[in-house]
Amino acid sequence: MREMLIVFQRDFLAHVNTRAFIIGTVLVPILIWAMLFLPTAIGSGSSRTLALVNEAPPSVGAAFTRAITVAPRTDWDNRYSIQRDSGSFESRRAALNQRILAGEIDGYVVIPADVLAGAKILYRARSVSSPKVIQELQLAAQRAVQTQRLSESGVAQAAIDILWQRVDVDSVRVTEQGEKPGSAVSGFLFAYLIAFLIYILVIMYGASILRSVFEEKTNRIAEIVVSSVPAGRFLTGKILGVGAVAMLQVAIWAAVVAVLLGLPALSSRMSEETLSLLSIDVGIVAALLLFFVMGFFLYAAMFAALGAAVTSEQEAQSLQGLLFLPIIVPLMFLGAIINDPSGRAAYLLSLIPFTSPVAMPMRLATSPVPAAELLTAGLALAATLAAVTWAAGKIYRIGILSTGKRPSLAELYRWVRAS
Amino acid sequence: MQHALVLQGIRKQYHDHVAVNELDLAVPTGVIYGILGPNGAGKTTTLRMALNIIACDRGETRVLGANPAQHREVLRRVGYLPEERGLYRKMTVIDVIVYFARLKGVAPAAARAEADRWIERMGLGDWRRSRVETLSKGMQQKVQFIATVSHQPDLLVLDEPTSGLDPVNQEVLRETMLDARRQGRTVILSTHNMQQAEQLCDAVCIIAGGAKLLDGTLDEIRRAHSDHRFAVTFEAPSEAADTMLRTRRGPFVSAVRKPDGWEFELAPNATVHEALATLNALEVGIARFARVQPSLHEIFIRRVGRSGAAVRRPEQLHA
Repeated sequence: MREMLIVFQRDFLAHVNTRAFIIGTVLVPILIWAMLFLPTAIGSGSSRTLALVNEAPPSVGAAFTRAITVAPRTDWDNRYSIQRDSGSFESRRAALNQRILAGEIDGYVVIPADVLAGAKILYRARSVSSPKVIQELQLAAQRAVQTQRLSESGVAQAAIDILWQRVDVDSVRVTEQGEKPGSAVSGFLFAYLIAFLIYILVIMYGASILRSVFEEKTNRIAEIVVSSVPAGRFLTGKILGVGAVAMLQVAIWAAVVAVLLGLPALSSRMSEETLSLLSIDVGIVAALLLFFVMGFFLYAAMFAALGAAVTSEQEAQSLQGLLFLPIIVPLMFLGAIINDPSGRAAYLLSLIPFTSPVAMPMRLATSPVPAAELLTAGLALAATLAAVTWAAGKIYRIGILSTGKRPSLAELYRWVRAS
Repeated sequence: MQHALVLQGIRKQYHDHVAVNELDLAVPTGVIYGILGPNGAGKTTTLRMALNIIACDRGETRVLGANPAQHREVLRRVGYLPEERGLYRKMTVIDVIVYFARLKGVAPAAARAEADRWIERMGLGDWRRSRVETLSKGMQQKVQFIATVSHQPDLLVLDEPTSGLDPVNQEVLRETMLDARRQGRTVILSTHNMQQAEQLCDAVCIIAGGAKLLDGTLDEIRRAHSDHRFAVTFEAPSEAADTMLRTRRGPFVSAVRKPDGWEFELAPNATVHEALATLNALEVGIARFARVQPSLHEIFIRRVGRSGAAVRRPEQLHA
């Protein structure tokens, strides 16, 4: 225990006294700040000037213009200004394309004469890559066409206006502790933030542990150390030391966020979603932390074993990608997990120990998880962590003294079985 | 007799290569003991197994009276300098020495005081707070050596300790080993340098092909390998004696002229008495007659073979 503490202390100080730690500590709060404030400060909506060629009845064009130029509801919505263009599409086509290329307009919309019979509206622009623009144009055109159809069916304009009145959804989660506020956006953002944090930390510190073990192997320090301290204890001390640096960094980031939230001038400028995602249950935070910490150490042990087994830096770089894969899988299923937090994908990924450190926090952030599932996943993760750390110690003991060609999986298995 | 290290039938096999095969070794306490052998003989593997850095496939090891696999605390009393050395390059000289001493159970303050004493002794005072990576290779060797000895171990295991050291520091190392022996500590020295082993070691063991060829005190080994070679110095020049030796007549099978007389080898069945009688018959006065003992280098070459391949003839000269 005493030796482990000495190793812990050395590795902690060695990793804290680096430029990478200082840069990471400063840079990530800036990123968090950007994630919290930039959406409200900048928004992602932009302004577009579009020409409109209306071949349909004039009231359709007027209704379209009204619908598309309505004041944006959020910072994410685009703003449009419409320039009416007289004449048919075919006669104006070349001129309008020229105006786009000259930068006079961003694009133009053509409402064909038979739009009421189901024809498509046309949109031409230098870039048509934004799904949001297409969606907004489609909604405005649909509103205009449906208004015209209703009007032609004899429905009064006042009735049509009432018909189009917007209905919003007020979403509230029902938990054992009662009703909890939180929109779909807040759940998504929170799950994404947690997954992102674990991913970033594993990449940063996993690679750091790998480098550190590999340095000890190539510099032959390990042989001296292992003549004093059992390999397993040394490796545990090292992983805990580097892990403590990661936890310290997260604590600093959390403190920065807390300070930012404490400033009324700043918190008042945050979006509703941002504020709601920060009101999390203490129990969930504890479970999140547990999965986060165990997951971090599980990957740290795997990276340490890899560092001891490889024989060159190139080999380490090419193989470490394999260790990132299990973390990436839950990110690939992010949509499925958020859409149905109790679904098969979410359930399986949150039980498998190599994916649960990311998948379970994502589930916890979006909906309550049954206690039995939480316990099973937690125990499976803890047991895997213990087994991997033990195996890593065995691999480390033999790996640090091995040179030449990279060991095969069968050889690694023999190393683990060797006393 | 107290032993600092006892190995009994230890064996290590890597795939189909047997690195160490059924090796027995007993290193008495308070001596400088040399482990000699050609490259790839299994010296480093033997030392690693002795210190439980790697596990034996078979056999038992006892370090300072305890099995290091079961009683790891005994390794705190051991200082190990491996052949391939390395230090934490980003750490300062003082910090790296204190770190290794603390891993051996020394309290921080005592570790620091002892480290300072050694830093001064090895002439590294100006580099005390420098990072290891800024030092020359030779200076790094010195730091490594200090890290091995600063916790005052009862057993020092040094694998090729002088490689990379300048003559001045080789002398410091030699003094350190002699000091350790004077204080009743034991030094195990793995080396290729026969001259160094001959000057320093009380006893040696020669290993080749993973097996022990011989071990014992230097005197015992030399006596056992002296064969039938003798040196003779005459009181006055004797034509008759010179002719007899040059023409290899009588019991003499070979003879070489030396500045102070002759060195010759007797036939296997001839006795010393017979040789003396033959020379006396020539009425020549004998000023000196002595058995010639071979150097360690000669014994090594003879037993290991010039190619480095082992000529195995296990012997156990001391228990």
